[in-house]
Amino acid sequence: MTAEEIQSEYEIVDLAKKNPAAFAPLYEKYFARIFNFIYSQTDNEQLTADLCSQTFLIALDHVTKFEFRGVPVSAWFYRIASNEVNKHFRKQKANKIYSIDEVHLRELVAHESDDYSEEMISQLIEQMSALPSEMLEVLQLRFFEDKDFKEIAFILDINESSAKMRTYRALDRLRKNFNVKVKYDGKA
Amino acid sequence: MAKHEIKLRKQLIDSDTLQRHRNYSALLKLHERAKRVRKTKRFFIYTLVIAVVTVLLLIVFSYWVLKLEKEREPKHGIKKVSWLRKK
Repeated sequence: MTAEEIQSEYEIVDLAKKNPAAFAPLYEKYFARIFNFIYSQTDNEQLTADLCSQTFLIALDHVTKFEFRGVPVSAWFYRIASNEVNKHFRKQKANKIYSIDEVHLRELVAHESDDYSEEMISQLIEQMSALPSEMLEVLQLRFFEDKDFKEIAFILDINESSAKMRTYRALDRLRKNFNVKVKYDGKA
Repeated sequence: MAKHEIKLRKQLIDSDTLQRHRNYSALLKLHERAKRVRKTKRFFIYTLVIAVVTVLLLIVFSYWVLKLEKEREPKHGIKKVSWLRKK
């Protein structure tokens, strides 16, 4: 995302501070992404719809307090969504579900022969299940949501070097346990 | 044991499903409602605080008035004798 695009989004936010109806373009632009992001952590359509609505409602309620941090406005939505999902699972005392898109999972690994067997995928899922939640969160944001480290740091409320460290540690663990070449740069 | 499970999803949510849940006007209504609720809550809290402070002030004031009146009343059973007369 270019600096101009980020700036234009912040202008919309400034307008929304005076008139909530001006928030609509941001809602329309990011609804699908936030919905999919939440769905990938709940695997439940109705729950996702509720949490997504709650996410945008919180954003709209707090739009007057929003400040420029140098990241796209979408990172703010992701941050709220992530907090809402975590809050829901804490409240329910249930296990978080990561429903990973098969296409994205195949992109995460680069096999020498490019031959992805079902067995390999299930092995990878098994290995990923053993990772701690905070590592899975960074992997999800980095490789499945295509976020850069600055945005990941903002979304998870950690610093940029911690975001990098978590990602590399997670990838190292996968490499150690899983005999495939893991791409460090998800955008390669 | 990790506190999460991983499932494999074959496809993304389709656009019809997204369209069904996408409703900005409903969100705006919810926002307006939440704003009204917050305003009402704030009004009640301020009213309550003002009421409590007023009651406390009244209690302090009435206690002070009673104390003052008690001090002004002549004390029964004690003869007022001037110390000059005593001599």
